[in-house]
Amino acid sequence: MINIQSLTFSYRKNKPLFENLQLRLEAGHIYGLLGKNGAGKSTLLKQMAGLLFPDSGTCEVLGYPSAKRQPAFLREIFLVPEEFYLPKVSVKRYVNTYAPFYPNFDEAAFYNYLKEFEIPKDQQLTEMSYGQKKKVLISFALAANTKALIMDEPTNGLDIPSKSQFRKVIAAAVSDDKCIVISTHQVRDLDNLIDSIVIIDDHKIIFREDVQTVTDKLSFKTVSRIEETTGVLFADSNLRGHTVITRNAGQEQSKIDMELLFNAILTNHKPIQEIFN
Amino acid sequence: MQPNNVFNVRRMQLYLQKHFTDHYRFYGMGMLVIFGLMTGIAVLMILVAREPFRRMSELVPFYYIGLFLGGLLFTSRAFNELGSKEKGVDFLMLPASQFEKFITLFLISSIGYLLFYHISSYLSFKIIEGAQLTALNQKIERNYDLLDNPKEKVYVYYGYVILQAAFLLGATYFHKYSFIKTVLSVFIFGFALWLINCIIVTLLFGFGQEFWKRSVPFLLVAKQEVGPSSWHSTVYLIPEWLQNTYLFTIKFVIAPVLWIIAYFRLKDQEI
Repeated sequence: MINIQSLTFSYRKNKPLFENLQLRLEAGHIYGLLGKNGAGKSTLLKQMAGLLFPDSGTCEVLGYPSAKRQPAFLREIFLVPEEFYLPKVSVKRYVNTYAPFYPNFDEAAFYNYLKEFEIPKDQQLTEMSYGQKKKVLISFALAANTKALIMDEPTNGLDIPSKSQFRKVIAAAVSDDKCIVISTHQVRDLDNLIDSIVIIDDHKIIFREDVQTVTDKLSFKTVSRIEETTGVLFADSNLRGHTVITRNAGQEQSKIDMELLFNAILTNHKPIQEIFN
Repeated sequence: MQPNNVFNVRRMQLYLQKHFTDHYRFYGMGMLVIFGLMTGIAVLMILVAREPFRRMSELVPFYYIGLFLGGLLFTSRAFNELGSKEKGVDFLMLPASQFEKFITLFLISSIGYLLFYHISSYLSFKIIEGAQLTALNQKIERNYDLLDNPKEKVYVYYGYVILQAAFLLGATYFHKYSFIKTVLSVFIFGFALWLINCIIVTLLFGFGQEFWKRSVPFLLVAKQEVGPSSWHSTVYLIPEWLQNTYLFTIKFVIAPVLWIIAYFRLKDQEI
């Protein structure tokens, strides 16, 4: 679906942001692109969307070179940027103007998503708050039924109930022929949503595994005394005790703690990486 | 079915519709301002100063100023979306080809503006004439034909088309303050051409008589021969075939070349 090969890119000469980057994302998955601020997440998404061009290497979506921005490519990809533009029109007018560009747009689904997000469909976009506008855009992006859906920090600006609504609608929207990529630095927002993790740090992809493999190989638990736990790969202390990551030697089933894994990999990813190699 | 990735009439129609949805306020205001200024100032002059326009040629300078100033200002805003990251993403990610987007904006800023401006000028002239007839009982003599007598007047429009193409190209380079930056660039380019001409003329004719002062760039050089009791000028003119080449280039080459460059610049835009 999304195929990045030997991608090199720099904003300034002699200061490459990506060097020889390889990434392959398949349909039927929700990928969480995680990284600190400035790690290069948005730049990578822009490469996928064809808003930035590789200095060398290729970035293809559904076999189309994204940099060419051909209509056949654009109608099968939707980008929800962190900062976005919506014209000063009503929701209905917006749909009438933009929807015909997307051949698989589902108008009924769009209004259902709006209902889910509790957005009145007769409201003018200009009268909406930032969060409401973002929900309209997310609803439109999902209803457009594009094969690739990429979202840059989609939960920024959403209140707590809306974040939960967001997870619900995204989980319902995924299908075997769709690839959803969500970038965020607020990893907790993607709990229970993503099925594959891509961690980007210092402009490199340092970790890429699906959630099932992570929970097969690692165990996430909370312990009261860290000294009594063997094989701790990473630990974080809080009021309830210590949340730890250990090697899952006994094939126990545990729930992934996305934030803990993220912090563990950013702090010292080698021991964890060795388990996956 | 695989869509045509370069041009599709339906898609362009949809893009046009989308463009007007985004910009109808700006276009409406702009049209009102231009029409209002053209008509309002002249009618006020008639009604307040009670000074009639005797001939059409007295109004023509306003027409040319409006044509160039309005048209070029309008053209320089053609790719205004690219000046904002949010609007730029919306513009570039919309599923229409870059060619369709370019052609739409090109048609609106060239033919669209000319059409509006000439209808507006005609209506404005009729209102001015009507106001003058009512207030001062005096008609405006039709002594100026825009495209005829002498025929060289048509070159004003060739000039306009070339400048319009330059400002369209400027709009793809400068996303903010495009008009001012393009004006500056045109001046710098003109100055560079003049400088090159001075160097060539000096190399060919020598420095002594400051021939560069008495030349029309890339066209002619005048040489003054001063005798004891009289003087005369010898004019060195480029050959006729070169003059014809110049004319052909001005009429049919410069503007299309600038449009093509502008199109490729648009294709290369990154956000």
